[in-house]
Amino acid sequence: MLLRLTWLLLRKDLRVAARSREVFGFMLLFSLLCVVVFAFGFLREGEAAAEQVPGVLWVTLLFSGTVGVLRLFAAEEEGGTLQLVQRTLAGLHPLLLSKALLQLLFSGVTMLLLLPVVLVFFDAALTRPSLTLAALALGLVGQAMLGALVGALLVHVRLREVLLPLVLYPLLAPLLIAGVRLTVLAQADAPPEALQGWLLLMAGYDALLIAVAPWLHARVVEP
Amino acid sequence: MTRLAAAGVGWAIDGRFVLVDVDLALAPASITVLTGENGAGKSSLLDVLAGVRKPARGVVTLDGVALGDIDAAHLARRIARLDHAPGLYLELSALENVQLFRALLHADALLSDVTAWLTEVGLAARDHNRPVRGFSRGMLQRTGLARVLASGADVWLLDEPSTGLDRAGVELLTRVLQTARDRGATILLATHDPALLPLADRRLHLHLGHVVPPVEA
Amino acid sequence: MARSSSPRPTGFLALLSVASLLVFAALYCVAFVAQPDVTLGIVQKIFYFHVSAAIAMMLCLSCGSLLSLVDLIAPSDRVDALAQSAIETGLAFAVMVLTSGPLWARKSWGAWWTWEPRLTLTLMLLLLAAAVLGIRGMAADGTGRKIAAALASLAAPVAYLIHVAVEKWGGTHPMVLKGGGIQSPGMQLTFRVAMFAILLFATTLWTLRFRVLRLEQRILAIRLEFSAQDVRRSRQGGPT
Repeated sequence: MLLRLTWLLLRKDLRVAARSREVFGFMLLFSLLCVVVFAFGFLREGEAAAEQVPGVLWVTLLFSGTVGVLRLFAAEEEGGTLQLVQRTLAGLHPLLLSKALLQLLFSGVTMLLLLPVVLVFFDAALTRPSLTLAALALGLVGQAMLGALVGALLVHVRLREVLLPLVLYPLLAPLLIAGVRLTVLAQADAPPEALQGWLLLMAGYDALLIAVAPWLHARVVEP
Repeated sequence: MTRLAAAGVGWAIDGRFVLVDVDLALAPASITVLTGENGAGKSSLLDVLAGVRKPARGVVTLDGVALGDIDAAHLARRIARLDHAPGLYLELSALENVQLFRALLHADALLSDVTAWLTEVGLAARDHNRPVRGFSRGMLQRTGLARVLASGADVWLLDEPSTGLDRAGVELLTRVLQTARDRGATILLATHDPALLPLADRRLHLHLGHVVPPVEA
Repeated sequence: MARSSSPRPTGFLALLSVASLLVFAALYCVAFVAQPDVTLGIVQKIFYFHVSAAIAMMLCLSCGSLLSLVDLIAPSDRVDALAQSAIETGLAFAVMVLTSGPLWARKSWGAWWTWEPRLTLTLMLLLLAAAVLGIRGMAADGTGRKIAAALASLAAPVAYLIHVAVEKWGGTHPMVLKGGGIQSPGMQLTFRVAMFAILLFATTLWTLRFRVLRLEQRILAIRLEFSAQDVRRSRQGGPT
């Protein structure tokens, strides 16, 4: 039931996204722009560009992800459907879950397209691609879940565009710190023991978010 | 017999009571027209009656059970709303919109019936499959009405349902409402449209935060 | 009625007096009882207030987060006011920590700011607390409280994870964490007095803010009640 309703809502969001061609394209463009801007800001003559890869990659995904989160509920706001959807069969969980999946899909595809671009721009190669990808996946799952929650909570808040990153970034800090460290370590070909703790931390936070976010959402949104 | 009732309902926004001691009882198979000045709290009252907002005081009951004790999903299948906002996804077609809400409310939804509802509200077949973003206000209102029909709810709370409708549209709305009433629906219309007043089995006026019988002009 | 339910704040005034006296006592101890640190010299004296403030901040913010969770589970105006005042007090102490920290760091580490784990965590907490309070103010009627409570209750586990993360992060860049031990009895006494003074000061601020918030809640409730009576009166008086 939960899955069926989530799928219904997700399919609706995908249709809307496909027709308005709005968010995803801009997310991608914006992320490319971020990479270029970071290159201007961080690259120095005579320094190895490859060292900047982990930071540039993660911060770019964080920023472009925010663009997506800010627009997650745009279709609902435009048509005034949020309340209608909130009060349907399974209540609020499918709504949150479908938005998290949508965000994950967008940011995941962005990440897959961005990764080669960053590697080319910064003249780097992935030392241990599977590990870097695992870290990125864990980070994006957490970002999607938290983004859906914060996006849903702030739908009707004034100055949302400003406030959303203000709460989202500190709450994402554990994932960002761990993700960047993991990528650095993976690039340096560090021994697996050094990585385990970071992976565990990310997985733990993701699990916490998946467990707690639906409950928090329901507590806030219920009349 | 009473289907939807409010007893001593009070509702406040921004630290000020808008509705005070509202008592109201709506019978099955009846159309009630609610009038009131702008800002009298008609939309707020509809929100409270639909269970979207929790009243600060008093209680709203559906078939004698307080709304707070009714499962939200069940409530959504019993009470349908039509507001100023059309309650539609603008990028989806009329068909897809109605199908979506039908499927969200009824797990065993047979999606083939949806076309019948769209025809019932007078949407031409060529308009069923284009995004409602291109619709006029009146066509949006019709699609919204189809969504209400498709919900299968037996309590309808409609806020200015004739907004943007042409004369044929108002006649159609009248027919749809009468048919629904004859099938047993409880309908509350908040409206200023004189064309809809003859529909009323009962008229109420929202004045100074509570419901009174209207002053006959 | 109003008078009987708001007695003279004798308890609060007593708390305020004791806390003020203790703060002065702590200042005296810091100036005259504690010996200057052997290696760091006089700057080390920031330690007494800095560490106490950090502990007060952590206590206030943890309480704020926990109380927010309680308020989400079982909403109550009292718990809400307690939680909000705790977060606000915690924010004030975070500012204190982040002012005294760099002063000390400049002398002992040679830089105003280092990405030292505890410093980083404090900064993140400050930002998060400020954002939570900001959202509370920006949201419409009634929802701000719930949103703030939800975010604040997430903050405690997140703070823990940030703490773990920055500690691990710090682990790869070894750094001198201890600015100076407190070896002599004079130093120990001073630390105890300062700690007690700051904690009591925090309690005073928290209580003060809590009382103000409760009063605000009461004023709102009274105003609300009046608005209802206003409506009723106008019905009887005015033409229908």
